[in-house]
Order: sequence, then structure tokens, then C-alpha cells
Amino acid sequence: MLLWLLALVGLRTGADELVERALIDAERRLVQDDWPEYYDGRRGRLVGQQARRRQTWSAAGYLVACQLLERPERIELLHLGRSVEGASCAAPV
Amino acid sequence: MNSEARARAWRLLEESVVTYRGQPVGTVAAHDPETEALNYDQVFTRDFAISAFAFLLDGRPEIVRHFLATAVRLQSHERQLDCFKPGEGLIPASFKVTDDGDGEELFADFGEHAIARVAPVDSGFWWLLTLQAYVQVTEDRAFLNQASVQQAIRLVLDLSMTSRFDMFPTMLVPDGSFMIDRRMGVYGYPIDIQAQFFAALCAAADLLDVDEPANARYRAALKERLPHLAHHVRTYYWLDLARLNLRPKESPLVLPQWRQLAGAPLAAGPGRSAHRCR
Repeated sequence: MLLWLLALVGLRTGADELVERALIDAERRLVQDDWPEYYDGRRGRLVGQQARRRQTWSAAGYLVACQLLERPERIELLHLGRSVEGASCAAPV
Repeated sequence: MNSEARARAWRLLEESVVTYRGQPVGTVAAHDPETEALNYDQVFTRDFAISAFAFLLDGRPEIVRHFLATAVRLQSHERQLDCFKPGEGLIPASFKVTDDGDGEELFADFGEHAIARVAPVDSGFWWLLTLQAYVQVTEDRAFLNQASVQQAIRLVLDLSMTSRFDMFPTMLVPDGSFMIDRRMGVYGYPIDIQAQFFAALCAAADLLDVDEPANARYRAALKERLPHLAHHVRTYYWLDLARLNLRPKESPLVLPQWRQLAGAPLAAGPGRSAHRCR
């Protein structure tokens, strides 16, 4: 369900190839494992211990990632945050 | 990408759509017979944000508008001294449509049914980010500038900026009050919530109607708060590469790019892994 965020950040920073590789890898697993919530283990090879299947946000996250990769200019529509200007000071510690 | 995978994903998403009195209002969290006993038959605000992005990018904004309006209706609107009622401004963690024979009704859950029985700090932020994406895609300012929608934005800001115990730009988060809604010792100032808080405040700054006099105070507060929040996170969070456990030899491509993605030397967070969400 975080694939969309990976795609958003990856495309914004020019890591398109990384995003494409991640998606190709993920889609095979997601279909095979019936859209689990998350993967576990050092290299993410195990379906999460507590993960349930047929998760809407796993499917939606994958779709949004595909939609962004297909037309990267769409990242402007989902812009999260921005650079800010103005006075700032270190908060008292 | 694989068209079969995409077709399946769309099918799962379509099957999850919930209607209320004939209008699509959201998507349930999961369609899995094994999860019936859990609360996955609800429309979660945080889950729907991702569905909303998919529908918006697919040119189908109606479900998103209905969802946004439904959340405004369900938002807690009374100042509560009763500790068992949700605080004013809270957007529900989830809602469901029920029908006991007298027609469909909406039931909001403010965390009472979450695993940890905690109120969500993030649902108001997800609502703001969904609203921002909706407005970006549709340019539907008539919806945005409705008095009820503008008031809902102010109420979210009241809850997350006015009512507080500490005096930092960041947001103090109780254990289990966000995606990982079980008590796992993830509390205090988790970076994912600070990042989302920042994005949500940026969204609010864009979404508040400049012509509405009631918004002036909020716009000024946001203008002041955002640089403080950005500075605080950039200064007091850091990236601990040793704990991230990335091995440059194994992933020569990934590591430098992640460094680049991080932009500034920040990250860290509470260092606990996320398990099942909701």
C-alpha cells in the first residue's frame, strides 16, 4: 500500500527506473499472493505474518503507482507538501 | 505494466465500493471472508485516500466528492468534556453503512472499534490530502468553498494546532493513534506523522478560502507554523544508515538513490517495524 508513495517520490527525484523495477517485481507477487497488506522479512520475501489478503489499499496503491509511472506529469496533482519560506528558529530543547 | 495485474487490481477496487442512498461514498478496507470478524468492512479514511487518488487519476471524481462530504457530515462537531466522546474536529477513522430495515444509516467510528481503542490523529490529515487532490484534479472550487467544507478544515486545524499539551512545532502522537492502531510503543513524534502533518498543513494553507474572514487567523498561524515545523524536523531527525541496514554491495543502485530521496539528512523515526495496520 506504500507503492504509490514510492512511485511519487521516485518519479519526483528522477528514479524512474527504480520505480519501474519495483512495480514489475511487486505486481507479480501481489497477484500471486492475492493482494496482501504487507511483506515481511529481511528482503521482503515473506507475506506479512499478520497481513490479511484482498486488501483494497494494496490494489489501489499499486494502481496509483502505475498511473503515475504511465504519466509522470500527474505527480503534480498529488503534490504532498512543498518548500516553505519564512522565519524559523530552533525550538528550545 | 502487466495489464492482467492492473485489471485484477481494478476489479478488487470496484468490488470494494460502498454506496449510501444510491451514491458511491467510499471503499471498504478488504474483501476477504477471513477478515469478517475484524473491522475491515468499514470505509477507512486513511485507506480511502489511496483509492481516491486512483479514482481521481482515472477521471472519476464523484466517489471522492461524496466521500469528502460524508466525512464532513460525520466529523465531530461539538466541543466535548465527556471523555468518552470524540473531540471536536476529529474526522472518523472509519465509517460504515448499515441498514436494519428502516433505510440506510451511516455509523462513524472515531477509534472506539480500532484494535487499540484510540482516536486517529491522521484521519483529518488524510481528509485534507484527499480534498487537495480532489481540488487539484477537478478544480471544483464551488465544493471547496462551501461553508461546511471550509469549517471542516478549520476544525481539523483547531484540533491539531490549538489543543495541545506541548510547545513544539511537531505533533505529539499517542501510542497506536495512526496507521499502526495497536499499542506497540510507537508514540511521541513518529516521523511519518510529522511528514504527513506537514503535508496536511501545506494543503490546508492552499485550501482555506482567502475571501473568508474566519480563515484569516488560521492562514496566519499556518504561515508561521510551517517553517518552524520544517526546520524542527530537518534539525532533530537524522538518518541512521546502520539501523536502516542497507548494504551498499548488495544494492548499489538503491542506496545512493535513497540518500538522494531523503534529500536532507533526515529520517530515523521510532525504529519499530510496522505490522498489521488498522
